[in-house]
Amino acid sequence: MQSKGYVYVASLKKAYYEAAKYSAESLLTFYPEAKITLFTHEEWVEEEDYDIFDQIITEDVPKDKRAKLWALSKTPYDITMYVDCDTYIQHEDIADVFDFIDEYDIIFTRNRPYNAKITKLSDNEEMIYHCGIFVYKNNTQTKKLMDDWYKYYWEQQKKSFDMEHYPDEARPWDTFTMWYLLNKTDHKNTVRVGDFPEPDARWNFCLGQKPEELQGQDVIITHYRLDRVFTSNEIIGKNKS
Amino acid sequence: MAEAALPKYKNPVWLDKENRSMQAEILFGDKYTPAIINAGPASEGKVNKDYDAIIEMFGEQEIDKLTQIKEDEKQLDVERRLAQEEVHKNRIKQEALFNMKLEAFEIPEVKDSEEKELKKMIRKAKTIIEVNAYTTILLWREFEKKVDAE
Repeated sequence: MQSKGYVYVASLKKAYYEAAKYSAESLLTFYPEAKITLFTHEEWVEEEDYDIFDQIITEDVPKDKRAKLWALSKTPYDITMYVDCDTYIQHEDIADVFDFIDEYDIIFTRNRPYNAKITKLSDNEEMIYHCGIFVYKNNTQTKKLMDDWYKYYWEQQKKSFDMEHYPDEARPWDTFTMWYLLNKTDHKNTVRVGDFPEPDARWNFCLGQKPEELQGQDVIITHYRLDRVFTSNEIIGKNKS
Repeated sequence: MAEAALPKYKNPVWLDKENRSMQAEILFGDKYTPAIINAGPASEGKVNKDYDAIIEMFGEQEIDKLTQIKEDEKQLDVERRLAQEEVHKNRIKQEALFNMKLEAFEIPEVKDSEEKELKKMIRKAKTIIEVNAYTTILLWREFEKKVDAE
């Protein structure tokens, strides 16, 4: 029996940690049996957080903006759904997500160019996959992919990294690193990449997307932007700085 | 020498072909300046030297083509702007709904409530009115429980 679970990574800013808890609580509302692991920093963890998360991993978690990429290969599950912290689960179908990976190693939802900062790299190259929500198997090829994702991301930040053929505005995005790995390295021959079922928008409904993308179906995951959320009390947004 | 090679007129497009009115860029010194060139209806027989020179240089068909290209670009711009406005409108509406849900779950009676179905309905709500309505029902039930317990 393969283990299946959800992974959140909250690093650098406490707002991400608060958001991860908020998202995980919404996940448990619709799937109380969900197994959830959080990678974060020890100083933020409170005793009651273990009511939400089955595992909280703090050892060696880097304090950098791409701790996510570091954590992915260390998932405790055979099949993992990685979920960005700034999300909100709102449907029971979240429990079925692991059924879709099938023969693939990893499945993604698609970017919407009209609602993304950058997707097009050249006339015939486009970053089509959204890297904020995905499901992957814990096997040799994906472990290598995830470790390379972290390694290459930081390579990409160096001035020496050759961005000549690509817009420089793609450099800060880990989506570009994933695109590069899946298109320009050996990973393109080893990792089997698939899509979420249609309409994939319901699995990663980024605020601003056209409602008709849902094809009349209910949203399963809403993906918001932490810097645009404002509430009155224990806010997610207040902790953003 | 290089300056002498520059054409006197650039990018002519019709404003009103029938009345021989167009827009073009004219070279003054070393700079192109946008200008409107009116020759008036052919029936009036007036002469505009710039107009005649542009017709001579480009021909009517080429100006028709350039006019069409400019109109297509304008149309594309309008469509792009409308699409951006729609994304913005959607985002504002969706963010307002999302913030409302966050605020509902900040109310301790909602957050700690055992009314699982109502909590689900608040999270699933598609409009602000639904969030308000389900939150009110949940709060009422919690209030009744509290009163019963007392």
